[in-house]
Amino acid sequence: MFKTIQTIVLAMLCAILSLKAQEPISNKSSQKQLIKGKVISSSNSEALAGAIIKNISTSQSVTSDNNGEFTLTLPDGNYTLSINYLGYKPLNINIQIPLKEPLIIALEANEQSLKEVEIVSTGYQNIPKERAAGSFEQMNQKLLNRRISSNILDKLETVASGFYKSQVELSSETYSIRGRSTIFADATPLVVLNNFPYEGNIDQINPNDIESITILKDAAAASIWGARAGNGVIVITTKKGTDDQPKIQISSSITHLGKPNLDKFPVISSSEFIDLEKKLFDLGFYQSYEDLNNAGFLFPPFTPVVELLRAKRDKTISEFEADKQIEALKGNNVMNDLSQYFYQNSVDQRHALSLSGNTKFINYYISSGYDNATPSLVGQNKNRITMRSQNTINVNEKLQIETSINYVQSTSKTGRNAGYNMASTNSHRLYPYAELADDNGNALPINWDYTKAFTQSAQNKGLLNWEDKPLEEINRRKLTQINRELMLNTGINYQLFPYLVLSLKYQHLNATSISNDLRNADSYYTRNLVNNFTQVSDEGLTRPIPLGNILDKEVTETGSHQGRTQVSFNKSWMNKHTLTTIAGWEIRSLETNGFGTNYYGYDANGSIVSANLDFSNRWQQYYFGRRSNKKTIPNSAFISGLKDRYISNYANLSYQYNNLYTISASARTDASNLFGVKTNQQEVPLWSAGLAWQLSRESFYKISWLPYLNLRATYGSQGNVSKQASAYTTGMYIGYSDHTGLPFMQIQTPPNSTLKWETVKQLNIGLDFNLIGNSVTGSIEYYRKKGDDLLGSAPIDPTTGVAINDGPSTYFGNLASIKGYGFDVKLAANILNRSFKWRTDALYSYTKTTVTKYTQTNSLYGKAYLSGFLVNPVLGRSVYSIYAYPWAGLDPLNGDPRGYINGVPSNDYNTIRNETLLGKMKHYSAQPTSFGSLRNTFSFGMLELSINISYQLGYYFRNNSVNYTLLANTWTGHGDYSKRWQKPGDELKTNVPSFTYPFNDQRDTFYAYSEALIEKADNIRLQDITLGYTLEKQKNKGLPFSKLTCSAYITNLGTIWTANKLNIDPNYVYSPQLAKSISFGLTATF
Amino acid sequence: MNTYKKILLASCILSIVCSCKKQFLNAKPDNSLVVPSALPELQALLDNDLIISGGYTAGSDPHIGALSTDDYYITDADYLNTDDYHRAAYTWAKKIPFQPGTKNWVGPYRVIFYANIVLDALNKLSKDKTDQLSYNNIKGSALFYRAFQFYNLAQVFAPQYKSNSASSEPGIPVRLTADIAELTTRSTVKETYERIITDLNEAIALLPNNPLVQTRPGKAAAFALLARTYLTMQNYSMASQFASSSLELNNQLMDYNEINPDASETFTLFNKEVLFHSGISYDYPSLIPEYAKIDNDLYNSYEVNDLRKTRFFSLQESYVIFKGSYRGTIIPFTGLATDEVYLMQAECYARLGDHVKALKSLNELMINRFDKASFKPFIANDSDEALAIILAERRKELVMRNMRWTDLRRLNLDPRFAITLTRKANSQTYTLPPNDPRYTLPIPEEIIGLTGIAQNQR
Repeated sequence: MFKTIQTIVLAMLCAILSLKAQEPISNKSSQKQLIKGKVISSSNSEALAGAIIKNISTSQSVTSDNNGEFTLTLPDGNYTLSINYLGYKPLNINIQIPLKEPLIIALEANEQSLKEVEIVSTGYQNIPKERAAGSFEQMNQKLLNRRISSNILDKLETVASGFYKSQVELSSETYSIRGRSTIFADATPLVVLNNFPYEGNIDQINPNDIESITILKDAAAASIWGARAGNGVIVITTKKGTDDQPKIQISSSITHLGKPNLDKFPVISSSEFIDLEKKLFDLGFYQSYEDLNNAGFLFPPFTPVVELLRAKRDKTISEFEADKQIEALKGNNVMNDLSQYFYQNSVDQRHALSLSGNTKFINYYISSGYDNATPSLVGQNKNRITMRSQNTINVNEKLQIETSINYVQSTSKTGRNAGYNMASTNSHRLYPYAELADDNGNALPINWDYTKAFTQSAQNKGLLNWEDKPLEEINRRKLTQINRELMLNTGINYQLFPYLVLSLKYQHLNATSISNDLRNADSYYTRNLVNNFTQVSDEGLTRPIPLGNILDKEVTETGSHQGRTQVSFNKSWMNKHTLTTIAGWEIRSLETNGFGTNYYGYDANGSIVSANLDFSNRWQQYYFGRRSNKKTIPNSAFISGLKDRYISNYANLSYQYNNLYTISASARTDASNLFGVKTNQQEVPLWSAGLAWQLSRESFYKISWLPYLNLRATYGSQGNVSKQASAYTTGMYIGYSDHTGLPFMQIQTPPNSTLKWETVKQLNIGLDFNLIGNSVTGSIEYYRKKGDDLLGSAPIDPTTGVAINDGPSTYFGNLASIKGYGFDVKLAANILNRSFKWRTDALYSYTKTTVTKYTQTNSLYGKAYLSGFLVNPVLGRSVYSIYAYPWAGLDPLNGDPRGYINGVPSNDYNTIRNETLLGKMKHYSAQPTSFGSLRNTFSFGMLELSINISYQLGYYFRNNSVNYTLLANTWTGHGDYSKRWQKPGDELKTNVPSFTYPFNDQRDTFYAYSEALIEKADNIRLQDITLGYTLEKQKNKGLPFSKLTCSAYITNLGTIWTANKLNIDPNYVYSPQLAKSISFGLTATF
Repeated sequence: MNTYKKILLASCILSIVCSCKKQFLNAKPDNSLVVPSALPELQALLDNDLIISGGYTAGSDPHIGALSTDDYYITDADYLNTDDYHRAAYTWAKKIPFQPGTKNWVGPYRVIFYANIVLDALNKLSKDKTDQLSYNNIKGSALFYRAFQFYNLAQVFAPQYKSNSASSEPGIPVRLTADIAELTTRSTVKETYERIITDLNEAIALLPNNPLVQTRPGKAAAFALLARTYLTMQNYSMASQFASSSLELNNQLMDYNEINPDASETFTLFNKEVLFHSGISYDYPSLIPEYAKIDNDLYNSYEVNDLRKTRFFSLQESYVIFKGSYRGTIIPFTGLATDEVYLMQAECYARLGDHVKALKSLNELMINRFDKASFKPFIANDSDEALAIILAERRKELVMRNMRWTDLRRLNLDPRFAITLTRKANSQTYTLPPNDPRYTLPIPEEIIGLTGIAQNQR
């Protein structure tokens, strides 16, 4: 297939070359001259696209193109041109034809006007924002530089209207544009880098190379990207050369992030936990674990306190000594050890260097960047090298060649350190009084997989040391992730006629991702594995797994080819009409191949690998004791291959009349290799139409306090697709059966003959305005969205048998329709504009999405809606909802949590849990319905201070609390233990149930999912503060550079206000609060 | 180059594009995906023993019946430590808090889904172009697996088959296609059993006498399952007939005299008595030997010269544990084996009045179970006496085989054999009288919630 693409590209190239031989038609006129000019900004010489150049005498008018250039055809003589450009002072100049020198028109910025002319890039074309009917959100350099971060998405957070980035750790959905359009198909927006969809990891893009980011929010803006644009599009444009003179820019920044506030993370205290263990010991809770140990079958571990209690009971230690030791343990706090030895202050450094220039012949931009980060977990390190070279060569007036090479290499290293989340192989957690190191910082062992007696006896039999000392283990595992990404871009623009440009573009991406997971021979992982496979017989020990390092290696190779041919037509006539159209054809192919294998007895220095491992036999597991339990040696070898293919046709048209009205329309078809779908159904047509009306330019417009008013409306259809689904029953060979040696297959997807593309239709109405004196600008946008045939994963009747894994059965297919609407409001005001400047930017977004149709059966019972991982749409409710059991308070007699059965308070948890109907459940929105920010920027001379306050309103979260069953079995739990009901009367001040034994997991689960734990998540936070100072050569002549910017940035400042009474920051319910992050940055331009 | 040439070139390009488009877009999105349609692929689906018959550690057969029997008991310490689901099952609670996606339901219905996928795919194959032998084996196997799980489900989620009420009482959902859009409804008990019999009869005509491996069914296994089905329906003449048919094809028995009593697990995988290998859906920890201690009365009921006492059990300091799974692991065996067929044949002869034949069948089995030197063949004067002996030996032979629940349900119908189960847990006593509605387990609420089918009244 690739060959075919090559052929096509070649054919196209031939076409271009033959076209080049042709003489320009317009030059044939002897009287008229084709004159060329360019409009630039006087302050920074940047090209101004979309300026209107009007010949006063003939009323002929043209518009400058993306490079600020324009052409006029005029007979010899003198003329007056009037040049108009929003945000700049209008200019009239006199010219004489023939021209004596190049016509460069420099416009002076209109100081009064706050509104800068924004050129929005759709990735296919650049258009002045004022002429676009669609909804675009543009982030310029200044806004992007505001936040110091190595990640682009961080920079959009709370400054881009309609963009929402979830700040909750472990959240499945990380970012979205205008709420969620899809349910479970890929919900992340499409990222476009320069001209093509970016297939790599967004973390790999060096933010220093970015010139601007445009977010395409509505259907008209996004439909040009077709099927994948249903979730919105983020278009990233990289920097280009701007000045004739070579420009060198050096920037460096450093970010310091303290250790997380572990001491504020609510966990049960040591003394409470020890008292609880004593109580449980007396109640006989540990008896069944002791029975197992005694039976020589599995060897569940005990905490030190329980070991001491056992020893005390068995009289192997005196009562006095045992009590003394237990009391001493109460003084320990594992969080201190964790904070001291497992966390470190995190330091991120970023350095970048670029060289750029723009001459008549070539526009070049060459850059490189180096980032190095030391994350807060000890043992981790990350670095990234980026290199970019981007050139545009103007071969002649008609032919332009663009090339770019981008290389990124990133490496991350991780040790065995999960911080406070640390767990043993059998999922025990660190008990609150665990000691990870002694006073001298020497690592101490934790017995959390087996009892000490068991590991000791194994060692006596000649097995390897079986101690787990977490502190020593950090560096015994090295998980190295290396990503290399090479992106090549080339394009040709050829001006066939002054108004018609043909362009060919091609992009190749080659990415390799290598993961090496090396466990040292002395690591607990290796010793545990070797020991468990050790076979003990009368003849001695045999080890099916050899001693030595274990290396798991995975390689993923991604290759993509994307090609596009496009014709652009751009013509103005009679001073009134401007027609801009593009049409093109696009092909895309993405292949991902993965390989994985593991090596035993690997020697990191040499190249020795143990061969002859017996992967087929089953070996008795040592920890199973005398009962038979056999396993094969873990073998992670795999090969995988994925192919993603698209073919698209598209056209886009925009017609402007008299700078007053703009009509736009677009159409596109996308076809993809959806598995098992007939070719004719592989295609989806997408379209949009829009209208913009610059009301304030009308002659009848007289509202003086509203000097600029622009109305826009668009409607269109976007799409989305998921390769997860298939029209056929699909299966996958898993391997050979351990039992029979026969190959066997597993069903992957059930048959789904009605599978189709999901579509999202969107209406967008926008209003842009400037208030008096242009000191306030703003826009209000209203949108409605309607999604049909949305793909998703929903619970399905397990009787169908489609469950691949154990747990709730789910089905993936076209599930539901949703309807949504919202507003995006944006305001900017120059409150003070003298030597001291004060500017305020306010963003407000409201979004609400409800389910209008659901094809699967909803469960009658509320229980099915509690899982946080499944989307479980209910008609008329928001797609993401939290459900909870109604709460009837604690029982005043015994502190039992109570729910309702038929309206009567009850503690029959089984019935409440399983039979509470959906209609009786409380439900809450899980995503903010309103969010936005308020940014105040103060500047005095070259000093600038910006304070950003963000808010998220109208949503709820499920709080964490104590679960007694888990507390006793996993050794740690929530700090709410101390707030538990202990005596009658407590029910008035607490909702935390009393401790009961035997444990009742239904009781614990009921409480966890009850209304008592639902809290309002609304919050206002001090998002960040940034302080900047700029030195310019223009003002300080002695400087060695033309410009120097210093900045400081502080974030993680916490909330100013939270709606919940407990004062919990909803971003940190399940993880410790992050410490303040402080950054300093320096950018010098030469 | 003039306009004409440009158009020509453009149309050339366009035609190249269009001609390659179809091929380009027909690429498989994932190399590892297969649309199972050819015979080897369908066979590979049925050979998925992780799902169909149970891999090394677990199977798919419902375990809630086994949890509810008097084969075992658990200590108070273990009772207090286990979760509500196990406590409820152990004490025959009216409501059982099944875990979401409980294997009791998902396990068997997933096997049925696989079987239905295979049967649907076979319908699309043109018969004349295929390997007839493989085709028959695959079709017969799929029908067998489906029937086996319908049977298993009926033993826990549908009431005991009684000829006078079978057509009015609700059975289990009988799904006959892989179409997930088909709504779930409950059949009657009669329809459930009729479907099992129809499927098995069809399977018998297609299956080979004995299969390549014991995770695949053969005729002998299908006859045995048919006999078990008829026995459950108390149709003893049919059960007797099919038990005999099965034994004609395979009547091999292990001589326990030759089996080492000292091994931690007595038997090996695929031993020669196994007709069809299957396993209980592993449910940690309740059916694991160290937890599920064997009832002392049951252990004491074995004679001193009964080799099963030492081959099945291991005597610990204060309790007895089971070590006699025909899977060779600690997971109970829940498939079909020849010993059960002998016992079915013997019981049916006794029920049909032929105590001589009945005891002959029983003794053929028992001679392999007792110490050869001291074995005295069982004798009885009439068929009632013979039946009592046979049922007592059945109790002792099929321990921890997931047969006890079914046997309790059917034997309780006869006042002579009806018993009341009693359990003590955390100093409370629980009883389960004969024919109690709790002998039918509730359908998991998750299923009721999604399908609205009728719940069993307990």
